[in-house]
Amino acid sequence: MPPESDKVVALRRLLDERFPAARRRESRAIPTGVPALDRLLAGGLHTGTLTEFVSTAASGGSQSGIGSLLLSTRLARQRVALIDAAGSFDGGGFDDDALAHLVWVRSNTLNDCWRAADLAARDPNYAAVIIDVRGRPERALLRTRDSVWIRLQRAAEQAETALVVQTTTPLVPNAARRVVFAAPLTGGALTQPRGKLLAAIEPELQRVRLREGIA
Amino acid sequence: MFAVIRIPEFPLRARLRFEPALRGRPVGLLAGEGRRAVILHASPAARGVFPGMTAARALAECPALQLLNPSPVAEREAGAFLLAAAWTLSPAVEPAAGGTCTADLTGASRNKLPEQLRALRRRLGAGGLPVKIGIGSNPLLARYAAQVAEPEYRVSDPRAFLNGLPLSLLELAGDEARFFRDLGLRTLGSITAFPRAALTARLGARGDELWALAAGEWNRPIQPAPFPVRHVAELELEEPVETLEPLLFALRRFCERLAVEAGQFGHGTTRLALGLTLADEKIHARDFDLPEPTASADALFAVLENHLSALHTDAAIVALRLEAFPARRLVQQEGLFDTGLKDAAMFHGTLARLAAVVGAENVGTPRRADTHRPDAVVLGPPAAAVPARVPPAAPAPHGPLLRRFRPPLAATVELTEARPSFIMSAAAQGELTIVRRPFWSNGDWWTAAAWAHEEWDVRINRGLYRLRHAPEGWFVDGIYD
Repeated sequence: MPPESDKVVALRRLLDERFPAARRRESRAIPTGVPALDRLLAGGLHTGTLTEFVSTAASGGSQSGIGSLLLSTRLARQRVALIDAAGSFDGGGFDDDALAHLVWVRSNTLNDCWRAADLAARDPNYAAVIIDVRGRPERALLRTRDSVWIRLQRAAEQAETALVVQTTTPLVPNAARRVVFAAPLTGGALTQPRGKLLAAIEPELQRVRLREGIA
Repeated sequence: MFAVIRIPEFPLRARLRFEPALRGRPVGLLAGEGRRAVILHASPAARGVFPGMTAARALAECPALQLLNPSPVAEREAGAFLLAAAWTLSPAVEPAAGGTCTADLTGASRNKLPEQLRALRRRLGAGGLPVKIGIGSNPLLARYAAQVAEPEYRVSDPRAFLNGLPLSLLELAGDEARFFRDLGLRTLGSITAFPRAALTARLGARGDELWALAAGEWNRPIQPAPFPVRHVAELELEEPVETLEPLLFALRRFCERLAVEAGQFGHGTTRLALGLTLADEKIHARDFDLPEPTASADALFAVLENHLSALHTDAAIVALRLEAFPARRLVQQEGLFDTGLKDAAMFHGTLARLAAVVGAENVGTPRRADTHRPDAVVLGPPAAAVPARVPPAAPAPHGPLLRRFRPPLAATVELTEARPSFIMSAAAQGELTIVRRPFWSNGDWWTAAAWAHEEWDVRINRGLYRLRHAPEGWFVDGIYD
């Protein structure tokens, strides 16, 4: 009897043969501008997938990574939606022109956050949707229904949007990639040029869960 | 605001959608089997036949009556069409059994809603599924409204509306119905006039639940259905089909649903895959590439009709399958008047819905306010087009970005030689190390909203924080991340 993994591979092959059209569309990568992150993510955030940024360190650099993503998408003139569950985004760290492509959504409750994310994720006008749920109680986050993630996944696939979920604890069961920011920044980071700081951020790839058609 | 869309006599309607020959004829749908089978629904042409009659009595009343069994496949197909049509109103739609679904209309345009509802009724009606729509401030009120709608009903005064509704809407068990009848309670209003505690004392938790239902109370968020990954319609035919007409009729129904379903997200169908299972167990399969993505059922059907009108098979057809493959509609080169949006209508629609969910003041593109006060950011409407980046005049930024605590967290700070050395706050507590000396700033001193403070960048445990000392006290403004 073949081992379980062989059975799964055989089943996938069979399904591919019978339903070749069911394969996912080609996914595009949106560079984040953080060298180590782009390396781990094989070029950047992939459209049609969920990527999870888990900040286990208090100052692990994930917010700076998101800032870099905002600048990178700004240069490419791609629209980005930021669903901010705790209203913690600091626009003061950017010049006005740097955020001309951003739609910032501050939600009052976690439920509103999921509803807003669901709406933004299905809009093909957004190249990326960032869902930042840090600052919300972990217990409430862990009670998130699986159907929320499934809907977000489907919406991202259909609208060809890259979804990023920023959390403090692993949360997204269907994340294609999970990156952990565990190494804290040093005090010297406060005076470093931003470019040098981003080059020093070293996140870890904790999980890769790819589907057909995704690089 | 919620809308409940209901297809009356759903099992019969779903079955008759695929039976063109029975249109206008007396038909009864049976529930149960053998001698216990009774009429579940009857078509208007079946005079003298009512739900609950035995099959024998129904035939005695109407000898021309054609008896049918429910078709789960046809019901599934009709349910999928209902769900696809409801998604044109809202992305958050909860399907329910029996040809009913609930759509969350939060953020929907009040001006456009009546026309959207008419279009939905037209679309489903043309597909053989006449619907009734109820609109209310919660899903329960909308559900009641859908029961009395002819064909639409909007609840404007919930109390007056509920008072006159019959008790049958509560779907009572036999003994419960008897209990209320004995008490002389006939309407929902008469139940809510009864003290809630007294009803709970008589019937326990169920009494409390019934009172809440009669009062139109609803506390559960709706559970929206996920969007389908694939858009497939399948049907196994009860009788093998040898002629073109019934086959085209079924495929027309498929096209109506798939065009709506695959047309979500601003997509259109770009390819169709048709599979016909023949009685000799062979399968006739054919793929059709469309010249451009389309969401028109007529365009999809025309492709199939052209192919099938010239098709001859060796055996009758016993099952059919149609799959639609969506693709983004054609993107054109940007011109002088282009908005820079893939789907401008959807972009503005999404913004309106987001504003309805979180409040208009919480959605927009951030811009710095005209002040040097920290965290002074205003939200403005997003630009129609994203212009090319203008290089900033300021020097390249330094340091990590700040993640703010809003509102700032009050802190108790212990000073040693006039410098912070220990902190207690909700964000962090313990000994702190000063990383950067304080920055003093003040502004707006010529107004009543004058401000002045000093900011310290500190390390607490392994995190880097911004600490602020203002006349009101010490605060943790945020964390560098």
